[in-house]
Amino acid sequence: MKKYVKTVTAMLAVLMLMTSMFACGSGEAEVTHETQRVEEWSLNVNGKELYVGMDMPKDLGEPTSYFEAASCAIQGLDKDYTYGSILVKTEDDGKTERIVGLTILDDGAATTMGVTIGDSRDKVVGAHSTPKSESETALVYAAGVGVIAKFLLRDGVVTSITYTLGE
Amino acid sequence: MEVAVKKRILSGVCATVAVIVIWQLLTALMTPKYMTSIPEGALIAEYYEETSPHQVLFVGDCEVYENFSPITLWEEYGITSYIRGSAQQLIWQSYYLLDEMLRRESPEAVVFNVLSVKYGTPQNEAYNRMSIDGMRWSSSKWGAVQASMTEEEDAITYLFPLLRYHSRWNELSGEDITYLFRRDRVGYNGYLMQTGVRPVTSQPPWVPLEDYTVPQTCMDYLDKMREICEHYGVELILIKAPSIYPLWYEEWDAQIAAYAEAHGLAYYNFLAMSEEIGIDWERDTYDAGLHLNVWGAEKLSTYFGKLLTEKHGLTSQKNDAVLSGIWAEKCAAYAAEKANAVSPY
Repeated sequence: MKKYVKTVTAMLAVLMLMTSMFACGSGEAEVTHETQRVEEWSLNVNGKELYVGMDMPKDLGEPTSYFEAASCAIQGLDKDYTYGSILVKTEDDGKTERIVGLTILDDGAATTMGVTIGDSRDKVVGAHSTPKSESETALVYAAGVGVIAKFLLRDGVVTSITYTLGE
Repeated sequence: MEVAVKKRILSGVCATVAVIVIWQLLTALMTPKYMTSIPEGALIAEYYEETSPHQVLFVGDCEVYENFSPITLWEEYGITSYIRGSAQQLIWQSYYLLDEMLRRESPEAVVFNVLSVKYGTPQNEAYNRMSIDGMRWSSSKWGAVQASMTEEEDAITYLFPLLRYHSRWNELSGEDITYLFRRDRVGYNGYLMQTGVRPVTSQPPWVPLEDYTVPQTCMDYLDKMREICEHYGVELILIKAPSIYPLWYEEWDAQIAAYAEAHGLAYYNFLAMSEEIGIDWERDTYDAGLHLNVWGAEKLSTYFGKLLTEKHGLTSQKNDAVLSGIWAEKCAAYAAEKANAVSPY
């Protein structure tokens, strides 16, 4: 009997060792992004400097409009705050609310280098230097660690400017 | 054979069986139960409890299991249906779920909600798990696993979930013991009833996208869904449920409409038909327009049932005594839950 228990224990130990080699958790993806403040890719809202990755300031004032959406079946809220010409997207897990995206919606706001909606491709490159990648429809810049800045273009004119988490 | 050898073989077999039993027990214990929280995760497996066939099968994301009521379809039109939906169900998961169901039964129509065509790559392990873990083992499940895994996932963890969930030991709760060997029903033929009311007060801005082209992978899976439906002689109906978020861009809508037209499929954008359906965004949603509550789902189902009857030839099954008995029980359970809700009407 002793030998039998030993065998079972040994087999279980091997299986447990195998399980420890695999990823752990409850199935909910743990997303971590290291970000940092880069002045060039920040936006000013109501006198506060905002950049992707920072905690959402509590004293930013009343937004022009607000929308929130619960993630289907997963804890947390995706929130959209519109402050005039700037859209601030955050993720709130109940403990911290973090900025995950900043978008310039119209020419009422501009990047720190003065680029706004309606400007030309040349103006973007002149102001923000050579992009990390480019195509007919977009100019993409590395905007710090784990953040990208994307200028969408149509017919060579900027239609959208977004700073967001990315590679 | 010597007695000692026989004894050794017997001992080895017993030890192996004991290990398998312990492994299965641990798997049952550690696997999330999706009962007291995140009930959406339990929907996929509930399908196997069904004892009668369905005329209509729905596949898709939360926009099907929150927005359509099979009970209403039965009560008002005598149509039997089942929703095989799950949170953020991606199009390849819909395809493999459909593949599995069409091997088990012969519906007259399949309804696919097209929102997921916006996602061309695997998104999130937690959602993958909710769509796939509940499937029984088959080539369909294996296909779903292969198509769905994110870079961080291992296929073997779907085969042996304990490899994924073993570290839940410090999260175990009473629920894990209560539901070790059984589950309560959370849906009504795949419909998850919501009885809250939270009006729409705002909508997010329409931020331009770099590319509005539906990813080729999604179009390929749409082809596969169409082909498998053709193979089994089932009509495929495409729908976009009336949810105001996530945003459904008109450029995507145009591509789906063009696809439907090119292949002779029906496509209904119920979001654009909200007014005609009679959806009241003040009272018919429980989360500010993302999904309908039960009163909204019933309105939509009443509208869709009429279409299924008048345009797609579905007929009432209420004269079938066996089916009527089965559905009477479902309707009673549904009515009992709804009776506890505070109606906005």
